[in-house]
Amino acid sequence: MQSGLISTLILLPIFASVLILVLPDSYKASYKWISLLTLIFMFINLGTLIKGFDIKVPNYQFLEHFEWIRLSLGNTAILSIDYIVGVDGLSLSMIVLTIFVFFIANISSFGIEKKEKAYFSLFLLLLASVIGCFVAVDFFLFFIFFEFMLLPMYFLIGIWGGPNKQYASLKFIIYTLVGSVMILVVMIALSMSNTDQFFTNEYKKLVYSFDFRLLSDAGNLLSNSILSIDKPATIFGLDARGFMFFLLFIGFGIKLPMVPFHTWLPDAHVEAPTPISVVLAGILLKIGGYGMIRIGYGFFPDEFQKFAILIGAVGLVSILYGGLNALAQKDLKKLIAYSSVSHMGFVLVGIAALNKEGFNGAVFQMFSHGILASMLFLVAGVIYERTKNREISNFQGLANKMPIFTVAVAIAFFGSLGLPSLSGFIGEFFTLFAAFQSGPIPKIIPIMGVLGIVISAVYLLWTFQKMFFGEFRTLPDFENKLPDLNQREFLMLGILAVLTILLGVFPNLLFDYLNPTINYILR
Amino acid sequence: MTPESIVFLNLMLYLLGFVFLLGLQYTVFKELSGWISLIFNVMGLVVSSSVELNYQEFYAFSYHWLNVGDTHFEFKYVIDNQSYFMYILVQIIALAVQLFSTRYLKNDPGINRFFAFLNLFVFSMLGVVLSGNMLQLYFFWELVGFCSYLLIGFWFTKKSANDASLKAFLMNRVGDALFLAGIFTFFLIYGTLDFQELPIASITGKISHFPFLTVNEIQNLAVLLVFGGVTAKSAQLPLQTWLPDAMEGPTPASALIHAATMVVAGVYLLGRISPIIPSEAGLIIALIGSFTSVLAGLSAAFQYDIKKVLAYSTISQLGFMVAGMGMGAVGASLFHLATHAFFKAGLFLSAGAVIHYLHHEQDMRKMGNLIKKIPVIFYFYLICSAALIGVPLTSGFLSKEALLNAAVAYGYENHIFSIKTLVPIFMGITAFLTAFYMVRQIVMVFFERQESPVEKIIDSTRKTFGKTIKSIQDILNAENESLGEDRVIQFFRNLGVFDVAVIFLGLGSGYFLFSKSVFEYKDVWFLKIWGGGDIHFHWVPFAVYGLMILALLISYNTTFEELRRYYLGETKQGWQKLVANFLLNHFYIDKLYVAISSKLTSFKTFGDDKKPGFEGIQGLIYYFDKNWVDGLVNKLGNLTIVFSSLVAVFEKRFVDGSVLGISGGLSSLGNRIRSFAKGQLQFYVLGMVALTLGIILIRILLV
Repeated sequence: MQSGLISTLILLPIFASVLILVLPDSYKASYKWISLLTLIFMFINLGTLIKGFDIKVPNYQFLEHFEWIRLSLGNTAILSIDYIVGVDGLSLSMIVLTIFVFFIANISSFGIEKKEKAYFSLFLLLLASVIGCFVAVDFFLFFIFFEFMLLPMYFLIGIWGGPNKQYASLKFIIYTLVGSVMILVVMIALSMSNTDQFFTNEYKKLVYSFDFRLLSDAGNLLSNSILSIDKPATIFGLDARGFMFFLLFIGFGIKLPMVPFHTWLPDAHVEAPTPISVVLAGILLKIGGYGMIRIGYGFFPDEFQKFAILIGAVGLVSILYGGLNALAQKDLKKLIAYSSVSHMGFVLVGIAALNKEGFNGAVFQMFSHGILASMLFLVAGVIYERTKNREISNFQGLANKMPIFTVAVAIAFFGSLGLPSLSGFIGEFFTLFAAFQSGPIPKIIPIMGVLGIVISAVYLLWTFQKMFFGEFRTLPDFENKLPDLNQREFLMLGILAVLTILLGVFPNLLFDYLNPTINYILR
Repeated sequence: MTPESIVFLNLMLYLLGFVFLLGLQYTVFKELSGWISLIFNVMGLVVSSSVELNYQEFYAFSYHWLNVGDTHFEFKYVIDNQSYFMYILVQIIALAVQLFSTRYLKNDPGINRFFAFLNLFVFSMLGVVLSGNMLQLYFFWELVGFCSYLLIGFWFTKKSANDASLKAFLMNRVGDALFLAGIFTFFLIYGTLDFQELPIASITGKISHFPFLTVNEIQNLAVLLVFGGVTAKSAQLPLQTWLPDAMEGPTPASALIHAATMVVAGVYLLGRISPIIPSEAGLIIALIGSFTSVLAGLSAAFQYDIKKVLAYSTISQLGFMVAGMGMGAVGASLFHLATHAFFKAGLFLSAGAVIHYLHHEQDMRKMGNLIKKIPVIFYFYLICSAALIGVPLTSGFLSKEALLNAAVAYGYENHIFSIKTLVPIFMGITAFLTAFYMVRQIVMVFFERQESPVEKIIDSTRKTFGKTIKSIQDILNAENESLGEDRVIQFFRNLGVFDVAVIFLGLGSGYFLFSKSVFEYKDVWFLKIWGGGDIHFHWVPFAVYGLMILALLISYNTTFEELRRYYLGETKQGWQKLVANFLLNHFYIDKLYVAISSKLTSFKTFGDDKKPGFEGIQGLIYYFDKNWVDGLVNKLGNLTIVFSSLVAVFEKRFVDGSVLGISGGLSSLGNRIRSFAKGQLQFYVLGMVALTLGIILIRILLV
């Protein structure tokens, strides 16, 4: 069944992007609407996808498979790269998140007043490549989308960013490229070690494949390749599989981000314009976690078992270290950026648990962080757009002037600090819960992880109190610049608030989709 | 209606009330929020009292909530003996408090917000009460904490209120973290969190994952971790210091949340898990509870703020209940919980009336003479205090006797003295202290004295109470024969909202609500259900009378002496001053915590304005992050730039034509990019990637 639904999801934004490029500048005002309309179409498309999606099937659905590149490597081997896209519960949930977050970011982008043409075409390109990343079932295809994502992101920060944008965007791209190179190495090594047995028999030649489904099956491993399980080659004193694990772990860990590879994040966030911060925190970080589950655990399960304690420990360090750093920040946006580091640490702890609860919790945490981080950055944006200032100490008693905004902030903050009935709680609970129930992980990791929820309460509530309570007081310039939310902001924050409450009260909305897939991945 | 739909309807009512009242913010009905909220409450009570429950049966409804992998959690409502009485109790106290609040917050601009929060609180509290498993209980447990945060900080422009709310939430968070760890441990041991399944669940194999400890030790650990959550919520050592500060909130909220209902959630939780509390953990719980009650009782005896006295008294009484749970006297403990809810809410509301009457004056030394000014409040204050002290005819007498009797039985087991004996000793001391500080408070607040400055400040509030006072004076002044019906009717007609609420709770503090016999607790419903109605030691009540009378005499005299010194301007000197300050500040426990946390974080108080650069532990870590982690990256970055420019040169000169072609393409791309954003390094970066890609490809192909 080749329905083309998924390809449409990738192609729609690309077409829209091209359309915006070719439209003359006189249509400037319509760019944002074209972009928004594209997203609405994608929502409709997504609706069809979800309707047709069979929850019980753990494997990829709506597969589209086209031969793409057949590269002959001498007389003995063929390199086969295919265009394969499909969704399972894991990627579907990520796509839902992507489209929601981009929808919000698009509304937030209505305020962009510089080079709209370039902005919206890059924005849509970014959307296409993120979707591509989540639906690719071929490693090569995944990598192309993964790499391509950097290009629009680089410009979006580098052109529309704050005063120090050059430094931040460069740091972002170099960091991520280093990660990409590591993933690239793994990709090549993996595909050179796995063969497509069906076609190998057909052609009487070794057929190297990038198909996820083949790569995750140890039966396809060549016994004499460097990644063979019995007698692996040695690289820098580590066996090749272990080495590959580290490359993947760091490669995706940079994206996640995990301590100590996180320093690009605060800089990128502080400089990025609000909608791009929303996309960056809401979606781009999730690709790290997604890759770690799909590719990392998918292809190197034994190594994940072996290094589970390390993963858990790095996760724990991220939780506490990120949280304490957030506590030291004076800039609201930087505080939120560090809180992202802390919250994504829970994802690592959940993955380290290597059980169903842990993986489910990790994905839930990613989803929930996607919503809440978007909310948090919008909150910072609301203040920044009014005053061009984000210093926490410059504001006090905002609740007097902006009561509705205060409600939205309360939902975002309490969601982030894990108040039950909001989505953050479920993710944090199940990642720690799973790590505690998991055999190989020392109990000290989840126990210390629980401290993370105390620290997050400290920095978020401290900020909340400082900025919103007390008598209204701010710098003289800002006094008349702080009206309550306008309709656009209300819409964005409202949608996200409803989502976070919905998921917090009915977590099964997501878990129902995740369970079969996670069970299948952990089989 | 089935019980299931009743519960659902009931919970939804309060949730609807919350949303609806918040929605009144910009409407003309805002002023009426109190009465609207009352309607919701009355409807809730009517609905919930239609659940018919026999002693033996219980209802449980479970809804599939979530399944994660092989773990399933349900939303389960249980109506059994323990939850049913709390279910009704919470709503009854809420009714009195809301009635009181309609007047107390009449002209407050945030009145709808206040009542909305109260509705959310009642919703969450009912959630706690009805929870069938520990995760669900935790869910609502945090929500009640959230409501408490909102209500303590209700007057959000007031700095002290904000600090107090932050402190309350954070200390509760510490407790919640322990509770969470306890939940994990329970699940590890039993593989379930369901309260009904826990006592009969077998121990899972996963328990072997736990290092160092034996099964019994892990069971103890699990209970103690959960007890960590209880110490925060029910204000026990070492996490009790948030409760006195929580009095910054509006007094009716204090009455409902920080005296009658929310703070007993911890006791309630202990009751739920009581079948699986091992004796070692039970002993620790009993010791902590009884010791806390002594400490808090001592502090209460030295406070001057009328609400602080009651706050410490609450901690002290909670210590009683916790100790009761620790020693396994579940029935007595829950009984005390129920009686305490009435008389403590009554005391708080009366204190609220006094504070309102005196224009937010809370210093007891500046009160006095109120016996004539607000007689109704005084008489019912007296009744509630008597219940708290444990005077016969009151409900408090029965519950306290039951608890003390159980304590003596527990501590004097087999007639040998052991560490357990400390529990009844501590509780006896507390019983003495309770009588002491309550008498002191009544004397200071209500009794006649000459120096009282009250006269000056009451003129404008006279209207609130004026009619009542007049009618009661009519009754008192009237000759016997002329005490006609019309005067009594007049009296009732003139009762204010305050009076009605206090009378309601005062009447609830009588013995007749709980027991048929005045002096014996053997036919109290609670003790019939849970056991513990036997009287082991007949001397216990007499010992308590002795203590009470002693306390009364000492307190009555010392209080007047204290007041005399206050008006003469004499201050305490030497060791007296030291002791008084030590107890006034609750053993400097709070000061110690603040000192430690401000040392660690360099915040002066919980809500310090100043956030210094690299000070405190977080500043140190940020310094490390900025200068070492990020610094290293920047150095590496510079190195890479140098390296990649070298590579670029190398590439141009030495690599063959095809690669040149690629890099040519890249460089033209780079040029285009450069025109886009005046970046310098894309080209090198892209070149580097291409090169690395090539090298690796070649290497691997060669292998």
